Amino acid sequence: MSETASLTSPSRQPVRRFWRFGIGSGLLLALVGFILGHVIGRTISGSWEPADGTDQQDLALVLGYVFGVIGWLCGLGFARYPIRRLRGQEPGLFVDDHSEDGASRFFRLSTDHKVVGIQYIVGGLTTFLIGGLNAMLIRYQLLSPNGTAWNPNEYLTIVSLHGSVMVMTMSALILGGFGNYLVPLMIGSRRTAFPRIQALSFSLFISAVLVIMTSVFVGGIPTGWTGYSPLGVEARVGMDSYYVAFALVAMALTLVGIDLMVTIISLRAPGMSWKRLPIFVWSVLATTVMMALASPMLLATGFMGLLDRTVDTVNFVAPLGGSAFLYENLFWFFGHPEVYILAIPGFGIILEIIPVFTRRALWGYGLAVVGMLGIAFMSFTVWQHHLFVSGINSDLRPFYSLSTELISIPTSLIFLAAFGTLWKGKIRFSVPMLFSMAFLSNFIIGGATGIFLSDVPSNATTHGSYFVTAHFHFTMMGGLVFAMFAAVYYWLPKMTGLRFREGAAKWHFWTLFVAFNSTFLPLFVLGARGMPRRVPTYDPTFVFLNRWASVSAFCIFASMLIFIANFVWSQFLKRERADANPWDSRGLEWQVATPVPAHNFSEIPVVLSGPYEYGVPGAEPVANLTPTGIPDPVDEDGNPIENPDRTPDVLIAGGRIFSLSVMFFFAAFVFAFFYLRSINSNNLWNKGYLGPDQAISQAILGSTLVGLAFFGAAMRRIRKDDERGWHRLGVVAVVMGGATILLQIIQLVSLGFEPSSGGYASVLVGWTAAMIAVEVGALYWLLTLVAGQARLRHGTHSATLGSGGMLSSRAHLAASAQAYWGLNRLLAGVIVLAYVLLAVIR
Amino acid sequence: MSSDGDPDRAEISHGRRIFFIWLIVAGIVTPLVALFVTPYLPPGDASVQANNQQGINAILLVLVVPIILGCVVYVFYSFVLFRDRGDGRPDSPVLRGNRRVTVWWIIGTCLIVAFVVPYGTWQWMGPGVGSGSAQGPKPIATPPGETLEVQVIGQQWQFTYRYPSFGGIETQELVIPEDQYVELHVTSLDVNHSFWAVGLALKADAVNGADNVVFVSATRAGEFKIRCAELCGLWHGEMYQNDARVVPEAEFQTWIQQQTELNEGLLAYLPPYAHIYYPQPFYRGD
Ligand code: HEM
Ligand SMILES: [Cu+2]
Ligand SMILES: [Cu+2]
Repeated sequence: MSETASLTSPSRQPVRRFWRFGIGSGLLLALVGFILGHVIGRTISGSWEPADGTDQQDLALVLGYVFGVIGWLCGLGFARYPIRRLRGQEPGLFVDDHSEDGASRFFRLSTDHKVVGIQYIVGGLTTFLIGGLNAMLIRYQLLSPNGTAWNPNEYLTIVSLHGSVMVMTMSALILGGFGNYLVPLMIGSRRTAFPRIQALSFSLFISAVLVIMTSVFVGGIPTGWTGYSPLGVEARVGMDSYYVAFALVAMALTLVGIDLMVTIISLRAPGMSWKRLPIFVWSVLATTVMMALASPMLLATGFMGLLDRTVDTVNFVAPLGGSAFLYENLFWFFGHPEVYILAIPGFGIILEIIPVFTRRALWGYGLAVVGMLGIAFMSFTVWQHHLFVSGINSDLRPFYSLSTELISIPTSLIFLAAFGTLWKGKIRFSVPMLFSMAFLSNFIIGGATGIFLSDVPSNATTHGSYFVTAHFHFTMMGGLVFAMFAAVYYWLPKMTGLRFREGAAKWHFWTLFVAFNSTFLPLFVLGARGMPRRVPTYDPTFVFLNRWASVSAFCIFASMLIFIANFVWSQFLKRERADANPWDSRGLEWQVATPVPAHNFSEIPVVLSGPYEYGVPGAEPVANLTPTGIPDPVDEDGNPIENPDRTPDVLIAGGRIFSLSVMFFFAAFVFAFFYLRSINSNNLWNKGYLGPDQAISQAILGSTLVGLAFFGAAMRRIRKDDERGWHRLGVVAVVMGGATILLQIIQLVSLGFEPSSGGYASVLVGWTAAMIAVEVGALYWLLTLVAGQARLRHGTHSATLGSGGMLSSRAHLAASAQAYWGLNRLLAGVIVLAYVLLAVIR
Repeated sequence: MSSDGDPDRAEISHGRRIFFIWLIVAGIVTPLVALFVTPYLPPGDASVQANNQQGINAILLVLVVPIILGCVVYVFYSFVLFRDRGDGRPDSPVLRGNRRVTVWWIIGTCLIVAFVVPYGTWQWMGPGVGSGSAQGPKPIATPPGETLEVQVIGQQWQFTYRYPSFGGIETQELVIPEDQYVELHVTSLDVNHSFWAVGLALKADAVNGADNVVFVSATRAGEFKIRCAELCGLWHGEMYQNDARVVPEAEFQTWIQQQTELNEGLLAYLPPYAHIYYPQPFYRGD
């Protein structure tokens, strides 16, 4: 196989012998990158004063992380794709993909959605274990009121790591793992829309966890997972790892969101109508909306925080023209959708599982769909319920209270669907079903206690206390983690082809259920009686309940050991084959062989009926897996050739959603502009500093608009198939794009990084720097178009292209240009807005 | 189960049974909660605000307990009775939805929302005078008549207090008179804190550059714990040197007299009283 594997690019073969991309090379280049970045950072910031009392420089550390991550990605082989693209070549696939079956493919870049899914699941379970160990360290300290196991800094760092790692893990693990693995199988596709992006998201996620873990070596994180500023700006250099890690995770989540959303929209098999979409896929779709739109806000927020820490902008520093409220608003505008990113996939999992074990169509399927989409959209309207006692917009509290409570309506629909499905059912209580039932009884407690938190007077009792801790553990741990285990026990037999031991799994369930409730119920009482969150010591009168909770928490850990033992035992030591469809499910993912064949389906199936038609007399089978009886044609690598007509849809949908993400990213800066301008007196807003040279600003505007006009003209040529004309115009657009970036860099440098020159300068620096970053990406895209088109014209293009799924280079280029055109217009809009706000209104 | 013969009758009987089980369980538990738990609910009755919060907490608890019980009863009932008993019919009877149930379910949820939100809003805007939840610089729920203004200043890692009507003196301890409305202005000199007077039921974030007002009228003398409810750095957990004291008016006058004398030399070094302070930047590299 591997000899014929890379016919399209024979030149690659010899190189691969010396250098094999994988974890080893990734770690090596990560180290090289880190050192390089650190040295560069030190050089730039050499004359600046170091952080208090240490010899460390924030800039050096941040650049170290950034270059380290870039090195890590290059070492894994991610650089090959952009380089080939820039040379106008077709992407080519990672040849290792399907030619190897061994375990080693899981430790390397892979574009197989199943491999990436497993990477996410195993990687995520590992980081879940790390987060869990942190929880044990927390509870160990709290065994006594004056616990001395950790000093305050260590304790806060452990709490921050626990919270951050858990939030990152649980948001990535479900969609990245189960979403990536199952969605294509469930909708009858061979892949997700953007396989390389899907692979990239996993590497970003893992690097985020690694980066945040390194904070323990550089002073720790004192802020908890929320990273509130000014504490976050003031903290020691360990804090940099928090911002970098959350920025990385924000990118990962955005990418996962875009990839899966486009997959669901564009790659459904024939017959897979919206009404037949499995409910888990609906939940993924609802979640991706929040991921693609809210995560970019987090990226922008992390970016502003890093600028405050490295080049002394003052976004979040009130005395100098920033605001702590700005951080709180930006963070929770992401943060509240994020907590639903942590809930909706759980709904999807249990609603997917309950019908199978009840042997009945999902009751109220439409209600559940409406519920999930409703939650997803409403989650953007509630963020200030985290700020009820903060003093900001206190007069708007009735609105936020109402919008928060209103979410209980779509949520109740999910419960109704679950209850309706159980009604008079003939339920088989296998382990996944047990976890799903427990989800219902745990989540109702989390949801009902939310009523207290969303009520202004009761919020004053409970805010900032252990009541909150208990509340969100009932939703995230009692909810999503239980759903995750339901999913593990339900789907892993399909993924690995191996059975779990049922007895041990039941032990795991019952011990976890009891220990979980026993750990977190007392915390409601502690919080309401006056124990604040995030404290290493507490009032001695609380000792009994705290000990109780700690001991119960250790029991949770013991319960997890049962799971680990069961996992190791049944997946590695004493392997027992699972049947292809052990639960007798109608889901499309269960109709393929176990383990799932390399390309899922030999032919794209035709879906004939819905996935839950249990007990329906005369129901058709769920799909015809061999509608023609002739397997789809394959290319030289043995990869099936996909229907090329889909490529434009995929690219254009992807481009649109990406543009929306970019819009939300810049929305953070627009919000910062208006917010800081409105709260500061003139003097603090700009301190007499009126911005960069007007001539530069106008030049930026001019080059942008000219570039846009030229690309617009180029688009017209593309539509007319006038290749020569489009090439010339495209080149002009490239030149103008380059000029814009150059001018912006000049603008930025001419600011001289003057610290403390007010909120205006901070927004200007942040916005311009962010724009440069995005424009460099856009320029790269434009260059690939021009280069690809040049190749095409000289006829050096190969005709077929592996399971990246793209055919017909010309159609592909045209679609790519179309997608780029959308982004181009958006960016031009952002630049015009920047000009109006930053240079005219000021 | 008895269900197999006549699905219609079975539906009625399961539904009734669940309903009655719930009625019995909730009927026993809820009054017990109402009688024996709600009087002890935090934050107690040491101030008008505490009383108000406690009342609302009690109502919400009484509302929420039957809901949770309903859910749990349903889950356990189906766990015990909706089982596959291997009677040779592998699938459950088909049911795809029920318009009536759906409509009532949504109406029920809406009714809860329609009660909870307006009730809570009315309480803090009206009788609760903010209900102990901070109202930002321009409060809309204000007490009638005169108030005593006291400032709460958070800094790493202590709260201090200033009394503008007594020359702006600064004290280490919060002392307020009984039965009088006190207007607390909360702010911070550095990072975010949150002023939490547990027994008095007050919570107000202390944010640098912001003024955050909360009203309290204590109903009995005594000592009350103060905590910080927003992570503010290393010693956040230790931010409770002094309890708040509520004293009778006469005692308050003597105390403030003493404090004024103690402050005499100090006052010159304090910045003039203001609702916001910007200390020299704590900023690194500056
Ligand atoms: C293994 C069982 C777990 C235990 C015993 C546990 C325990 C705790 C405790 C005691 C705290 C409070 C620390 C403090 O405020 O001082 C905490 C915080 C937190 N936990 Fe967990 N936890 C567990 C699992 C989880 C899971 C599964 C998630 C998420 C999916 C999670 C997310 C969080 C978050 C976000 C925080 C807040 C951290 C912060 O305050 O910044 N935990 N946990
Ligand atoms: Cu929220
Ligand atoms: Cu604090």
